[in-house]
Amino acid sequence: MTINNNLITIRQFTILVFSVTVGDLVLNLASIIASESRQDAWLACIIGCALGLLLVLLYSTIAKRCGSTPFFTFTNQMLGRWLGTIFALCMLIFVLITVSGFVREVSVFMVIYMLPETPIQVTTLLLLLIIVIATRLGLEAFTRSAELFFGAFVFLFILFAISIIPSIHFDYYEPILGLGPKPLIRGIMQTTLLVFSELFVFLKIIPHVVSKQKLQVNFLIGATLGSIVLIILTYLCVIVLGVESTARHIYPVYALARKINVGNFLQRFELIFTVMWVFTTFIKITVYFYVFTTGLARLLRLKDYRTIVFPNAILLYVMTASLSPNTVFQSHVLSKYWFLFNFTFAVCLPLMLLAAIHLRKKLNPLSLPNTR
Amino acid sequence: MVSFSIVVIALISVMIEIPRLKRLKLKKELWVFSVFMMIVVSLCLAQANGVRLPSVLIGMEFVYKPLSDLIFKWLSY
Repeated sequence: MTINNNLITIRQFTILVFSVTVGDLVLNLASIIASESRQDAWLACIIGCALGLLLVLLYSTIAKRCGSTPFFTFTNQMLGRWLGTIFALCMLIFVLITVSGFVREVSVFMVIYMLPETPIQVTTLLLLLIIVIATRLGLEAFTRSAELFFGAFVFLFILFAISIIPSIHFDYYEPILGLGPKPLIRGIMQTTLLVFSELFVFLKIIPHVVSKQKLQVNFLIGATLGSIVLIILTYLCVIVLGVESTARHIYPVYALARKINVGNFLQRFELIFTVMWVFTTFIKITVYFYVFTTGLARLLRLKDYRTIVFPNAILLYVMTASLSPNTVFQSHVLSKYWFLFNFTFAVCLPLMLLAAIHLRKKLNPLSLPNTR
Repeated sequence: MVSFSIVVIALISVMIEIPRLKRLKLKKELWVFSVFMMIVVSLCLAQANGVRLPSVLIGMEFVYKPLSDLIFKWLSY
């Protein structure tokens, strides 16, 4: 039972990166960007994704230094014991708050659109149940399920994108840059910080990847594939629904899927889209929860992280239930303050770590344990 | 009803976890599990019985509001 099946191949890692990039935010990112940058939402999304790849470069540079050492051991080596522990705690707090946001998002969505008469506690509990099972089975198991679903996701996504084509209005995205550069900057800021800083958790996953020669390239490929999906969806939202409608919906992509009607024959695509979304979000939540649990287990020096899976799941339930007073407030925070939260935890912290690594290398080149 | 189901869920997880930890003779893990379980179950019961736990997002608003207002004022159009 103590065998840790926690090694994944580089291809599985790429697919995991894709799922985490796409999951959760795919549904409401378009709304946030459209309310920030109006007609230029698609442009903001493209530039934001390009900038986001810089963040991926930052993370993979740190990961390259880290090698196969467990990440929190590495931070202890680099920052010293006290600062390293504080760094680890900050990362765990970030992961816990973010993952409770995701769980909340899924259960609220389910209650609003799919199961209106079910209490929200039940949807949350069901979601947490499969997350507990997946986490107890280990990294390898849920990565494989992500791999299985990847093909279906790509196929359904292409079908979705093709069947929405008849409803496109190309005049909806004019004028381009009609409001000057400021709205564009707002959109770029939101895209980069909301989507890509969530890849921060992969620093904890990367030591489990078997062969690391092409790690940086594969990290970039996974993030690029994910951002292509996000760009296409934002673009489609703007040119099918129009800016006003996209900005006003909480879940514009769901509204977009409802528009699909090919010859009165292919309809109700929103359910298929929901399945795709719930699955990628499930993978995302499981990755986060796994990182949180293994990280906490390492901080407490436990031999087996499965010990604290159940208590953590109940903690996550409490966090989810007390996260925010209502959904409106949550989407307000998501569009106004969440990117700053991500900025402090997922951009400033890794930059600090990178600075420490460089300083240490300059002061004492021999102290680095394994640099390749 | 809600408190009852929380206790049932906690008991089920205890019944799954404790025999496994005993069999593997992981003493420290057993302690950590029990302490954690007690903390989270009491939190959960408190919440189910009407205690308002502090909302994380309200804290987030409190911390980031000045900076966010500044950024959005600068970028207003």
